[in-house]
Formats: sequence, structure tokens, C-alpha cells
Amino acid sequence: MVRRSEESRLPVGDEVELMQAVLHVGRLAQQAGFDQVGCAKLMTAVSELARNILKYAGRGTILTARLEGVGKSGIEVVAEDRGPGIADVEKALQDHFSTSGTLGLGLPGVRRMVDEFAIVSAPNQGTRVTTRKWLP
Amino acid sequence: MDDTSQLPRVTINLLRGCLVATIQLDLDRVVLGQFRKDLLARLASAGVKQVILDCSGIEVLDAEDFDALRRTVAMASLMGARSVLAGLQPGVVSALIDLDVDLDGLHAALSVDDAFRQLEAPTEVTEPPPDTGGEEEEPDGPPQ
Repeated sequence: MVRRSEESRLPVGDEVELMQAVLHVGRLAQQAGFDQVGCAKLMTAVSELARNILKYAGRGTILTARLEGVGKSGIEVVAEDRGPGIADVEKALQDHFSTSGTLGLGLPGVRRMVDEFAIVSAPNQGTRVTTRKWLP
Repeated sequence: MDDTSQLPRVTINLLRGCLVATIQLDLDRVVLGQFRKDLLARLASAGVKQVILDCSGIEVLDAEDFDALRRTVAMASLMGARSVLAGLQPGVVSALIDLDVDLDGLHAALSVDDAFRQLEAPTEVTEPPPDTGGEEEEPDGPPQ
């Protein structure tokens, strides 16, 4: 059983909102007890996810929550959009794969920065990336 | 283009023959783009050969920000200047490693003081060897 608290819904439609989402997660992570490295990883993950939203879907939402499980606690970050979706999720999770520009989706990086990572995407319906990071 | 004077800017100071840029702001594309222009102009006018990018104030650096910073360093090197990234925070470094960004050819220092020491040391900095592909695990982008 995992209990959620302090749930927030943050719109991401431009650079300013991206930065607000990043800073929000930084604060949340700090309150949850993450150290500087943990906070930086969560913030960077949010920045990558939000940038994908801006780049591919134009706008979307970052959902954040504190998690309390049995003997563990952490943070959940969900990034969702109703954009074009990812045709080949498997491929998008490979390092150095990109359909636009050179940097790729950064999803392999995000996956390395968190403890749990799940992605659901359907062409023309959107993408939802769910990540969780637990306190060490 | 006209209202750039109102935007936050990265401060660039000339110190001991070295341009020191203090990047304390949360980076965004506009600020970084302006910074690149400013730095180019200063490099051209001051004839400086060394640049220290003080990154100690950066809390988050995603792959795109990092790439922009990298291109700035590449640009300075085309102007004949050597750059050192100073004071990257452990969390930022750790995230960059997870992101698996290309760190080749970058010089870094623990702090700005350390960066000055590096730049003032007799240049035993050897030229990077020609790219012979001898490094292990060289990430190659997919063919376009």
C-alpha cells in the first residue's frame, strides 16, 4: 500500500511553467528528505520530461505527489500529454535514439535517475510517463 | 530581439586575464543564447584566451542546457580560447552522468580558484589526440 499526499497538478505549456515544475519538485524532494544529489536528479528528470512535453506535444501536465509506503517513502512524478505519442516506445528507451534533432527523448537518462519508471503511449493519443524515486 | 536589454544576463567579468562568467541563474534558452553572444563579443574585443564558466550556482542542468553550454565552450575554442567549467555541484554532475551526455574534451575544476590554478599552470595540457576511436564505448548516434 502506498499512500499519496501533497498532490499537485502543474501545467506545462512554456519555459516558465517548465521551470516552475522543476522548482516545485525540488522543494517537494527537499521536504521529503532527499539529499542534494537526489533532489538534483529529480529536478533534472522533471526538466527532461517537461521538455519532451513542450517539444513534442506543445503542452501537458506534470503531476507530483509524496509517497508513503511500508518502510519507504518517496516522490512520484507523472508527465502526461495528449501529443502525438511515441510510435516505438522500446526504441525511445534506447540510448541515443532520436526522431527530432540530436538529443533524443532523454528517457533512458530519466529512467536511470529514478527507481521506478513506466511509460504508456499511443500514437495520436498521448504519452504518460510515471516515475518514482524512493528515499535511500 | 529588441527587448533583450530587459532579460536577465549572465555576468561576464575580466579577471586576471581571464573571462569569468558567473552562471547563477536558472538557465533557459534565451538567457544562454544571449550569454553566447555576449561571450563571443567579449572574446573578440578583449583578445582573451581563457574562459572560466562558474557553474556553482546551477541547480539543474538537463541534457539540452548542457548541450547549449557545450556548444558555448566549442564556440570559445574556435575563438582560440580555452574554457574550464568550475564548481559543478555533485547533484548536477550525477544527473549528467545518468543522462549519458558527451563529456569529451571538457575541462572542469572544483572551484573558480581551482580553475585559475589550472589555467595558470604551465600548459602541460596536451593536445587532444586525433580521434582514433581508441576510447572504449564511444557513443555513436544512429545514422540519419
